[in-house]
Amino acid sequence: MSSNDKYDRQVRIWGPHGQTKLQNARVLLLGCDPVGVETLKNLVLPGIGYVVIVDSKVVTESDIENNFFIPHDTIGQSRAKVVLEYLLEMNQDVKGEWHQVENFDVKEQHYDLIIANEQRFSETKFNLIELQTYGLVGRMRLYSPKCHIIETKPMNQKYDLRIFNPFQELKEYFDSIEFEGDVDYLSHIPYIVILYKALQKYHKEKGKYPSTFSEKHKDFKQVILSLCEGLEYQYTGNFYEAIDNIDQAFNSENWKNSLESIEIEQDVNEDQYFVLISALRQFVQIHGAPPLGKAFPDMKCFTQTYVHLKNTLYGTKVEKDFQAFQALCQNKVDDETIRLFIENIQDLKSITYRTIQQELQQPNEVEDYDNDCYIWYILLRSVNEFYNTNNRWPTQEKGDTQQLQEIVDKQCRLVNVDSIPETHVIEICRYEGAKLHMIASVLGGMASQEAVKLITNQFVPINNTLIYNGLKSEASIFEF
Amino acid sequence: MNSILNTFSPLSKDLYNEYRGQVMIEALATQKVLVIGAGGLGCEILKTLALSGIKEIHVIDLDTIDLTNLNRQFLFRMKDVGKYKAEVAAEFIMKRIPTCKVIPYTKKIQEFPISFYSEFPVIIAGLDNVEARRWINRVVIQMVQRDENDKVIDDTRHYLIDGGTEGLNGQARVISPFETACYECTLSQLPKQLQYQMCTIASTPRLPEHCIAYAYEVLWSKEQPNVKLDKDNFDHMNWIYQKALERSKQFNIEGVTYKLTLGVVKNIIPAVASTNALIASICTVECFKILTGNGSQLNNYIQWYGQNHQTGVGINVIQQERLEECTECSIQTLEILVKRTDKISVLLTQLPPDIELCSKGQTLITNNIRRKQGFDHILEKTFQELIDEQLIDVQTALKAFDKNKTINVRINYE
Repeated sequence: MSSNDKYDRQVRIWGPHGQTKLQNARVLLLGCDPVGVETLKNLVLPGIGYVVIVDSKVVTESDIENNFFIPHDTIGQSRAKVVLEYLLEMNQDVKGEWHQVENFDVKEQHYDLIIANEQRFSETKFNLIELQTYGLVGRMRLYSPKCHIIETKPMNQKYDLRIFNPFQELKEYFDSIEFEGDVDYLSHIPYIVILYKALQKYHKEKGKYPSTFSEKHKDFKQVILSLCEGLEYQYTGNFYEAIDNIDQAFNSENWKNSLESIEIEQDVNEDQYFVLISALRQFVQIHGAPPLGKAFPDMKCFTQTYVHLKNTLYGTKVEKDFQAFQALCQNKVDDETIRLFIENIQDLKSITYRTIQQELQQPNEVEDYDNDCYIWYILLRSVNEFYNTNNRWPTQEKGDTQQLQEIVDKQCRLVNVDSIPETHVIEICRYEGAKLHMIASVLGGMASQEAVKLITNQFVPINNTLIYNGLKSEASIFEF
Repeated sequence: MNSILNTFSPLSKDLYNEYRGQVMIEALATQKVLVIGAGGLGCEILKTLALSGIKEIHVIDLDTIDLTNLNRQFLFRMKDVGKYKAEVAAEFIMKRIPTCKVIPYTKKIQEFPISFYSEFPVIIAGLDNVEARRWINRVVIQMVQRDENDKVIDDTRHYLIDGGTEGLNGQARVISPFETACYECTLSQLPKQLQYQMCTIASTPRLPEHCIAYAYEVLWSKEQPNVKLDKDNFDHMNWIYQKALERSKQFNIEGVTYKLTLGVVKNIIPAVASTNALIASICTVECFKILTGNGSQLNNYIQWYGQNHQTGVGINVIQQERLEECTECSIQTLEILVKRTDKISVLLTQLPPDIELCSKGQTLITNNIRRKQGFDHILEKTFQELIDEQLIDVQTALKAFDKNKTINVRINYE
């Protein structure tokens, strides 16, 4: 054994601070259908803090057939009790409670997340994941009352290297570098210097900076190559590194999006995220650029050069910007969060969710879709309406398919869809509300990823619906 | 379960609608599925198969349980650390779901004969390395037999379902040999492993990773020439960590930690319960559809990106194409004319050199010099003798493999 932390493999994804958030989180599960239980299983394993399980029913034969956490010898017992016992048996770090009740007042306590299945649930105070599986089809719906993500963790990290608009000390450094010397020296000039020099040369020759795609990736590339003319190929690694990173030579203004998407309201000034955004506005007004983040990529150069750039030049500026930014936050945000915010300024994201109630009344129309998932969404709405009217699911009996077809036509009109194939209507009638374990298990995996995103406030959650079509193994995301 | 084994389905294959009902329910109960790997994916696959009507599952894994498995491999507990994964997993499933039989094996997959694999219509692989995937891919290709018209005999086509995860991302694929792309067809699409250049590590380190790589790749063999590095040994890893730390201080580089050292040396891939659950279950749904004819097959590769900062999740279904020059599943047919009284050693002169010739999964001629003695007795036999011993089927083409391709060898008798 080389690691003594059983959470090692996941902490590498969301960090110790993400793990702490998870371990402090309270999650409420409404209903012990397999999809909700599978979702909760994937949260108990990574060490969620506290779970509350609510379910009014007792264990029957069908639970044993489709729910791994309801063993064969528990028939007649409370589903909530059995599920809690067998979930917590997996991980002693997790604590919880169960309630066998019909109506549970969720407003009495705070929850970091509610997982609801069995019914459409329209509470809007907490983060919510609503789940439904129906035969070979599944649906997941997310809602969050406020969703501002600092750590969006894009697959390819963006760097703010100030090549286009260097701060004073950096500009002096760039200008001090000469492109004359032996091959060892030339082949170790950092690519950020190469990009800066190429920009100057381009401007000198053409009287402007490259702006179109072709100017950046063709003409500008030629200028970079001209800087290493005469150098043998094996010594030009750093110049080709510069070409690979051409986009870094131009200002990234992604951070402006986050300013535009947030309208500052004075009365929510206590919310950390608004404090940070407001501080960012002021900072940009004063300094003309956002605070500099600490992330600094590897680049081919001498160790000394790299350490000097990273620690002294950029490092000092990072610290200076941090101090100035911190002052603007007026002690309303802790330093660790401020640092995280500055690190991620290029990739901040805010999502405003439509409520489930809004969706139930009028889902957003979908213009074009490239698979069957939208059809299944309309059909799921239809069978749910059928259930609300008849208190049972439709079958392939003629009366049922006719009645369902009428509902389907109505649902189609609501979202401006002409019609949907009869084959799909007959197909959904064969499921008769079946809750298959394998589909629940797929959805449970997907839902627990989103749960971790909402709880840790890392990564970007979906907005707002995912439809999984097990018939073809395809899935799509819609904003309904 | 019954609704998807009984009722008419306009969106399923003919196989389903023809046999739906009691026949299908009984058929499903008699099918055996092989699961390779009882780790993150394997545990989930076993659970989901057992709750999908499969009554007999075989599982292979030679690994033992490590503490860091417990955050996702939910059939294992603290008390199981050090025990065989396959055995603990099998026992757990059978205890929770007594109607399902799970048979564990704790050997390497390469130690089983082809006849073992041919018992399973579907093989689901939850593996963590390329080599094992290539090996099992080759097995499902080798099991395919053809009739006199060169058409694949249905019963000999075994499906391979393969899943993999990394962090919040994952993928799953269905391989139907000679019908879809095989694993080898797409080998060139594998992402390249991150490697640090030796000159960087040795003379211009800049990142903490460079210092760790130096301690691991250079210093260990230099300063501990007689000790084999054990990546699971705390003392060994700590030695590397200390050396890397020393070097990083010398170069003013920050960020060397024990955790990072483990990550670099062991090439640790982050893993979490949620991703394993969804990928494993997608694999299981595909298995169920193959066995029952429900729905249509994943065609043939699905990518899941739980880490997507634009839309939250990215999902792609890609139809990967077969590679014409695939070294495993490209088809080339060779016609050879012999007399029934010829010894099969005549083939040695008629086939390309360095070839391995198989019939019904049994090797007749091997390209492996070390094993050659064992097969000499077969070389001395005549075609008629081998036909009598049922080692060769007159109707079926033999299979020949060399380093680069698979060749169907059709023997015509004078």
